[in-house]
Amino acid sequence: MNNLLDILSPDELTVLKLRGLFEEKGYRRYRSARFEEYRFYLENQSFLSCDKLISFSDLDGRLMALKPDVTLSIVKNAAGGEGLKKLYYIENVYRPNSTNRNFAEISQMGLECLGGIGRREISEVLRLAYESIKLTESPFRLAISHVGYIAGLLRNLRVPFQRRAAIYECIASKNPHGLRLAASEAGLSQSGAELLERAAMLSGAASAVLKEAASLVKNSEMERAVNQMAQAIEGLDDERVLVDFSIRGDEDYYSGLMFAGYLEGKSRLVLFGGQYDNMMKKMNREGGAIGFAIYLDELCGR
Amino acid sequence: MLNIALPKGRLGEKVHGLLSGAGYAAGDLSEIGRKLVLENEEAGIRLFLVKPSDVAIYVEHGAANVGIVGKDILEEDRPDVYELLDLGLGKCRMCVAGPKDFVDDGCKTLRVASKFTNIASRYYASLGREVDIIKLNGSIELAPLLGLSDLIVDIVETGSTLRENNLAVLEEIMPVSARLIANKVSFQFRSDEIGRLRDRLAEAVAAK
Repeated sequence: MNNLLDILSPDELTVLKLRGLFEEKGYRRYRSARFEEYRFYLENQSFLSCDKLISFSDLDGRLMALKPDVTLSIVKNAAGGEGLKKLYYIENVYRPNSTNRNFAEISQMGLECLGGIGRREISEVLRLAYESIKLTESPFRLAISHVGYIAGLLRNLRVPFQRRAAIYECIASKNPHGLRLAASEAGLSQSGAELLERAAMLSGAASAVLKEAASLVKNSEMERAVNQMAQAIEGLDDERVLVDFSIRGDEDYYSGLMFAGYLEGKSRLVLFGGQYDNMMKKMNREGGAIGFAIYLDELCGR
Repeated sequence: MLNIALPKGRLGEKVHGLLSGAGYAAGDLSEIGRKLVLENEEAGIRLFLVKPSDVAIYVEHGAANVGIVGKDILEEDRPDVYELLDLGLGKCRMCVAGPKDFVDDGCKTLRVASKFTNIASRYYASLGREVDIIKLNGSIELAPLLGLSDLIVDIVETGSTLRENNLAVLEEIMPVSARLIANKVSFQFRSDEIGRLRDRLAEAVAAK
């Protein structure tokens, strides 16, 4: 056989290329157990996209669950100690399928950088996310956001804590009419509501949107968010990188940059990630962390 | 070409009119029985009519880039789509209705008939009230008359059907109107086209 690579299916080849990309940057493969204690996921439910798990009783009576996510396990089991931990994984996770009627085995690949992360690591992980979808050779977009931008604005506008969920929900669905209603229920003035709508609905080519986002900055938290986004996308192709504040993660876990990858012709996003220092804190781990997951079933079109 | 899913029926006709007024005219709606799809190459759109409850499914799965659907269906199915504009068409209310003199004494599990079982379940869960939800697909008003349920959760436009049957609106759950929705991936690649459609529709709505 002349070339062993010829026997790989396109999907296997994609995984191999991704591994090459990650290994070249010093990331090592992490292998996780197939299940964790049920209560571990219960405690971290708001990080998971869904609260439904496949559970079973282990022989010693403990209630266990087939893992719906790998990041939580990596933070629990591998984070901590000196220096940086650069890891990637190729695992199956178990979640309800998109119609929510049955559980599905979802093949996922992901990368995590944990510990003393700084500007360099954040840029590196974002670039790897960019390169990961680029290697599919289909038209793609990488959209970025930052938890601190809208959170900073909501703090500046003194939006009561219990009103924020409704506001975030409208931002996530780019729903301006719902946002206006939620803003008025939160007691915002007309000018406050208009500012929130303008900032929250920003989306489009990164450089243009960042300029506009900078013009709406009201405090240091928002300013830091804009600066970090600008730094993170340095050197990436501006036509393919977007800024979109509808991308968000739970503030209990995510703390900084967020991003999502899209391939033309697919119906769902193929990549999702972000900086999750707050999860590290929540689990009593030193330092920060950033990473992303690639949904192989979507990416490879299976 | 932007694929636009419209709901069959009265709302679809109204939206077709609104689109024509916004510069997105695409043939005569009466042709659609024969043609299934109406195109306007110049405006870059392709319209097709589907069952109202299927519009969001077409959009979520990317078969349509955008669609127009009632807030009732969005709230019932909660599809993963962007909700870009309130068209203010097809206005009605999602309500709890029942016999005019109905009083809930809280002693027994309420029987509630509805096509919108998720909305009904969530509403009563938010009140902490135990209910049996009975899923029906039509003629919901019949359920309390025949003793199938105590109450119904349904959309109410004028309330005349309720009145004719000695029923009344007891509580209002939420207002309902037609919304422009978009597939999340399509939006990232075609935000200019979709944004233009949204803005022109918004102008047409404001001009009404």
